Amino acid sequence: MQGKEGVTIRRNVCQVCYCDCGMLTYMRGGKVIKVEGDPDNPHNRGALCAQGRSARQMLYNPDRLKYPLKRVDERGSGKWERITWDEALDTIAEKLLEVKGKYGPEALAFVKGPTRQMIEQIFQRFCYAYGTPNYSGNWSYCVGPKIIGYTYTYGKTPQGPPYMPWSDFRNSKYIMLFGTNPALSFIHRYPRIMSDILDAKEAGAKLVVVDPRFTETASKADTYLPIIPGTDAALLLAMIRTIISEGLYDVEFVEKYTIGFERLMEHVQKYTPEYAEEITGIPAERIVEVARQFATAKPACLDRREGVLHHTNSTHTLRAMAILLAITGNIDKPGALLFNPGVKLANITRKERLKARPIWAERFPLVEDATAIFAEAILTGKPHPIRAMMCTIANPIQEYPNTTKVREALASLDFLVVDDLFMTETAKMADIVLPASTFFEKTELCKTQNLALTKYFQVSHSVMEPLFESLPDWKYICLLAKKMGLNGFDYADEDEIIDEIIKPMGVRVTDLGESGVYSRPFEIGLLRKNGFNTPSGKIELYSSQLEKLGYDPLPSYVEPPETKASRPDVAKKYPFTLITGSKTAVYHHSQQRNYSWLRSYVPEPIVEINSKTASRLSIGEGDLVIVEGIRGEAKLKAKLTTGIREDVVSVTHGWEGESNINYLTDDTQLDPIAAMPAFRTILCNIRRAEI
Amino acid sequence: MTQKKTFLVNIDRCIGCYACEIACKDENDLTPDIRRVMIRIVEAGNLNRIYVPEFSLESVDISGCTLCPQLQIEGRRPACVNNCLTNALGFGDLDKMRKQSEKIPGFKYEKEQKKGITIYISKKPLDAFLTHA
Repeated sequence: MQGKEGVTIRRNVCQVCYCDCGMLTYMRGGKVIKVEGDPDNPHNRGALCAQGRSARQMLYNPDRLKYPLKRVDERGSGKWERITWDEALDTIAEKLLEVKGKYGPEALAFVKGPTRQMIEQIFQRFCYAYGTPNYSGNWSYCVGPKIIGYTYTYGKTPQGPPYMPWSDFRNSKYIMLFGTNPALSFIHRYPRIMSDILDAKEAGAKLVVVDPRFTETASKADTYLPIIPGTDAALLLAMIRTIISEGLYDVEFVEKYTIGFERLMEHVQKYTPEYAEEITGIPAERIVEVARQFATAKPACLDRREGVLHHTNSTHTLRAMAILLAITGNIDKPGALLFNPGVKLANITRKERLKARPIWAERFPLVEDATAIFAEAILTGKPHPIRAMMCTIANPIQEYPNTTKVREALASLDFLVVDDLFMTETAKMADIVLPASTFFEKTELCKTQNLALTKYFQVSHSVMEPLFESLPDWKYICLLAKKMGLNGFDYADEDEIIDEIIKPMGVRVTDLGESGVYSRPFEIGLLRKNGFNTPSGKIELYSSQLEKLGYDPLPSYVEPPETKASRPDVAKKYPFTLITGSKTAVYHHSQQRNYSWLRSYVPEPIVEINSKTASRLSIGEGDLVIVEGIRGEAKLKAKLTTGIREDVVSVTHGWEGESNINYLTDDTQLDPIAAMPAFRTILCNIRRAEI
Repeated sequence: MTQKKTFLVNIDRCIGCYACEIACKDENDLTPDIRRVMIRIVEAGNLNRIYVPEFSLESVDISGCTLCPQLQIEGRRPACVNNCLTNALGFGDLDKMRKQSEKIPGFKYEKEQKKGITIYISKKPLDAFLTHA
């Protein structure tokens, strides 16, 4: 598109977070001068969030890594020497082949951060060609328990991969949200989500928010339930019990589409509202009230995000949610839970080459990755030695649980290469640091957009040549693979790779034009019509599949290992529950602290403390506070609020140095099915720092 | 005759996400300290919080809202309004905005004179208010 005064407007996809919003990039003289939301994109409809609208400050950030660096002196000393790409790739190739010769190909761990369809496939193709199955991302920190919980209840897509069932909030009459703040964190990767929820409210829907924090979203709620962290399953099971015992479930739907109802009914008998009150801190009469409302308002939505996933009972919690939606008939219809099969893409990873099994295979047979167990595996050499790591746009030191252990593990590696935009704390530990390119400088296949709307993908074209000596990640991997003599990396450009991946959709990149958009409607109600893709063809309230794998066939409330109830001894010294991972409007995980526009809103790392608690401990607004737990401590500024439970403190993760809250979290407390770490059920104490 | 333009702010829909503020900075190339539109967070009692976008209409230097004339020439609205994720902000002719405001449940406002600019502020309950540029 041509704008005025020599301005060109290019369509691409914002890849700051996972939302994949349509973007219009305004350019003049080869420079990006501003970005806007693409008004033609159905899911962001012309707007971008604060982070996306700041994307220019990523592209032109003075801190960007500009050329490859090699470590001189000891690891972490901060002394670097500029080298050429050729030297960097030669060194990496040599080291990786050396590790493979000594310990076998499984000794390479490949960890990655938020990546997209094309590069994910190239990364995997590289790993499998080299021979390592230890390719790990954020699945187990993010969607894992939902994928398992929902897939074992509702079944997979006809083409094989799991569904990502999403709620149709806009057409709903009753919206119940658990541990999520869509005002800032956009569940369903959908930045207009709060707009849809508010539209539904204006049309008469009720909004219920279950969260230990009184969030931006909670401020719009009709009912706010401040729950004790990690106990959501108890609330859900008590709701299920109430709905069944009062005969409020959808009898026709249950009979026609589900199996295992009698066993469920028997199983939930013990989850009385009074029992749940004790566990969750929510009065029994409120539980009964929301259960009745949820069952009788049709259609109703129930959704969640990491607040209910970041603990050891997360798969059970998500199974309970799936069951609650099923017995109330809120499945596969407008205003309820929708099942979009998505687009069918080719798998070009050549996984068939792979012989070895990943380090998590024995312990977590259902997971796609189990990133938290790497530190332990590196330090113990079990179940297999891990001696080298390739880390790309990932930041284990600031993101993974138990920072002390992660640091120790990374320091002990034979070889660490980090590919990133900035010198992160993880990059500082590397032997070789490579300058990555931003999404403005590379082409990518994006398909994470809101699946509640259409079958969708978009090819995001690069708008400029890479700055400095930065290289798009796919190019670096292909060059490296060729140096190592690995086959299948002779791609001329991104279009060639993407064409291979989108071939099953019967289109090529050039067919999609400048917008790169592929969008087709999907039919609602197909699962009810054609049957659910489970062994029984029905929704499995009681899961024989999980039972066969040795897991509970029905969900239970299992007390997390580090709470006041399970560890009263520890709670004497550490009486508060720490939740980490809550979002601000301006930061995506450990990113963006160096974008001046965004930093001005949250200039310092803070710990949210209830005002009453703070006054009892003589902590004032802005005081420097030490948050201490069994494994470590962090220093943060106190932010006093009435909007958090008195027994809970909350810290946003991703800060550097002594404000890194992952010094307190634990890499060994994992959900036994999905390998999700307990980022939000950690006992801690808070005290004012001596100055 | 061209009508006076006005902002319409529906506080029920503002979620405090700062998308308006950053859009203003990106559109007008501003440094972080310049906040021509600013979200004020009001704790209106226990567990009752509202987010109120305010415009620096009275400032005449760089810190003052210009209503993005460069976008209005193209028939578009100011950057903050275009970029609002929840449609909490409106902008347009006074009559049209007044009509729109009548559709907002519980909308009540009163007029206030401020440095020659008429500002409409809501009475209790603080549901929404109208700012007149």
